[in-house]
Amino acid sequence: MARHEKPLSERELDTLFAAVREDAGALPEHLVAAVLADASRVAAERKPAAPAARRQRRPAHRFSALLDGLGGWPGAATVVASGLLGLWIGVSDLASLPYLDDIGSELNVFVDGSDTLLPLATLDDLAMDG
Amino acid sequence: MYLERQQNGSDGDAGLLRRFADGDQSAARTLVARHLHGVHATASRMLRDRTEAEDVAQEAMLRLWRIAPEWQDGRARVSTWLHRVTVNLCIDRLRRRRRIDPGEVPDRADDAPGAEARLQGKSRRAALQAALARLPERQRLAIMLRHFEELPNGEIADILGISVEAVESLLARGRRALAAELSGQRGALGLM
Repeated sequence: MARHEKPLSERELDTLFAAVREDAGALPEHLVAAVLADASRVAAERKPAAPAARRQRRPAHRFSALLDGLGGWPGAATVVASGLLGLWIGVSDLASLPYLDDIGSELNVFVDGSDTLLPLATLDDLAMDG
Repeated sequence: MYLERQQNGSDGDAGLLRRFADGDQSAARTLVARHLHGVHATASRMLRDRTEAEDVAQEAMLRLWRIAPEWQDGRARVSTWLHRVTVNLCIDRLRRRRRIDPGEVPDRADDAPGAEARLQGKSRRAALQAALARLPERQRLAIMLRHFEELPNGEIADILGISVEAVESLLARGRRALAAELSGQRGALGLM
């Protein structure tokens, strides 16, 4: 098989290596395309993560959270109106409120489906009667 | 050649990775142009299987894309890091092959040296690769990284995780073994 048993010289080896380097084939186009597609995919996977992270890091706006808790603007308006009414009642002199004493005596209710309109005071009498 | 592309571009590789991490796809194209050829060549020579070499090259580059946001400038050269990943992926595959078929990595029929008439051009590469396949793994890696990828010994030492002196020793023993192995094939190798 071997006509030359003497090992290759350093120079012969280097010549061989150089020849093999030059023989290196071109890159397959489909490999380049696949690698670039991977790069696009990795970049795309990274993009949505950044805004989401920013949203998570950003503290929720307190007023917005409160408004949501109250059911939005209509709910908040109701709460504010109720508060103002309570404040008004609190600071007002109840005795000076007009007709307050008369209101109770004027309250009338229907009892037991009766068509008769009874004065409120009569309710106590009904209760005592059983 | 690959070395020229690598040397000319190595200074800007970390910057390109930062740009890619910021969404610049043109940076990815430049990195592919600089490094994919070398990665693919290393995988092809180690694995001697076109499909597997392409899989490894794609996987190595994919790992680069994924690590881009965390890349630190002083950490390593991109080329060194890529070669290290490529070599490790190839070693994993070679060891898996051995588990399936214990013993030396089989020489493939299309790579084995044949009649002298057919051993020109491509067959010269086949003859050398067949001889390389018979070298111990680390000698083969050192020879390929030094003489095919033309990496400096220091970089090979980083890739293989050994000292520069150990690289020099592997290269010397590998060259001696190849010189003896190929001594009977001068004609086939175009050395006569």
